[in-house]
Amino acid sequence: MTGSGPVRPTGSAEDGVMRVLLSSVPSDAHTWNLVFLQLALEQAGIRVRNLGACVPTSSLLDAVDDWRPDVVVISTVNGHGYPDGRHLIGEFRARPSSRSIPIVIGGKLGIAGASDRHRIRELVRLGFDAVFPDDSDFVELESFLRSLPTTTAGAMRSERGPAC
Amino acid sequence: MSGRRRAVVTGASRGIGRAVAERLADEGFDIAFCYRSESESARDVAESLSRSGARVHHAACDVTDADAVGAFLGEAEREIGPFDTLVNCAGVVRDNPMVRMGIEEWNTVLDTNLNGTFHFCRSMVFGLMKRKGGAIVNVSSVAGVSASPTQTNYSAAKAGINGMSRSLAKEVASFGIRVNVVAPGFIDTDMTAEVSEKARAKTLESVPLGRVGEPYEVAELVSYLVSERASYITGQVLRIDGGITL
Repeated sequence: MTGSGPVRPTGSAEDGVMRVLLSSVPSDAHTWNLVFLQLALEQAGIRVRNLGACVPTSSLLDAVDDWRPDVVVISTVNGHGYPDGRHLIGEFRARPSSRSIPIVIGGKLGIAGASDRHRIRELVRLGFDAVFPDDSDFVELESFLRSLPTTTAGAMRSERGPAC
Repeated sequence: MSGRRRAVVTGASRGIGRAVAERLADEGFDIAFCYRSESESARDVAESLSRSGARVHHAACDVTDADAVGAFLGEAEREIGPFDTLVNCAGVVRDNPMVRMGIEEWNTVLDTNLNGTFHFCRSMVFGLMKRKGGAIVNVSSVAGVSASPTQTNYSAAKAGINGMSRSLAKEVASFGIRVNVVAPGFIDTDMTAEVSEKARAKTLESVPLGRVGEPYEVAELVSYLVSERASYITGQVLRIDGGITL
């Protein structure tokens, strides 16, 4: 575990606790990755709302409007992370209400691991603040969250991070 | 896994646990080990491990107490660093035919052998998941895979370890964590030294290799299972028994 104490909020939290909206992509029915991430994030002092598996993009966007999280974490392990992520980030960044909210994606982005580097670059270019390929670990995500500005949700971009 | 590895070994003040700790230290592991009450023996083990160049943390720990296990691991991690390997060796026997077996004999064996193993696995596995890798070896017994009269408590506990380990192996495989079981047969330890000469001779008659096993032979298998040489082995119960279960 990097750092110490709870991860600080990026600005919207009124009680000083960072809020992470956790979700999969529409095509992904896996839940174990989400359970793991929720536990690990909560252990780091973060409040988590876990939307579960097979979340339609419209439901994710509604949840963002409803809860106003500090960060959105997308976890996917079915190998469709890249195409689903491309679709999601387009809608996410197009809406004024979610345009400035940090969002990261991690897990298995495709089924050909060697080409992940290209996918990472493309997902970051399209608007993800960080992309965490399959070989990342949780410490990398935690470090990223700790690095976010505490008063404004962030412009920081990274190409590496944890195991989502 | 890269860099110096770190292992937790339970029940390492004697017998198989001691042999495992010494073998892993020889291979470059830093070691945290616990024991029930044999503090003098534990000091000997600690000195032996230190001579191999290992950083060592040791303390008495009641493995049946989940809070005590958490406290031991917290202290060990503060002193040595995050662990990537767990070997559960702590165990006791309270043999009796079931018609004479007291509730306390049953509970003591289940609490130490099965619940103790669960407590350590549960306390460590989340850290291994967050770091995406690691190896767990739980020491069971041939009594957990075949009949062992007068050991219904021990058999139940060891069979429980086998089942728990298989299920855990499947739970955490996607995080790069391997979980295996070593099931020793008749090994020359303090535990088996209490067996009468007559019973010992009778047992040996059913060991095709014709002798008792040595703790270092079990340690050899554990050392293999926690190494990258065993990178494609998980969820297995490996018998090391001289053929007694054939």
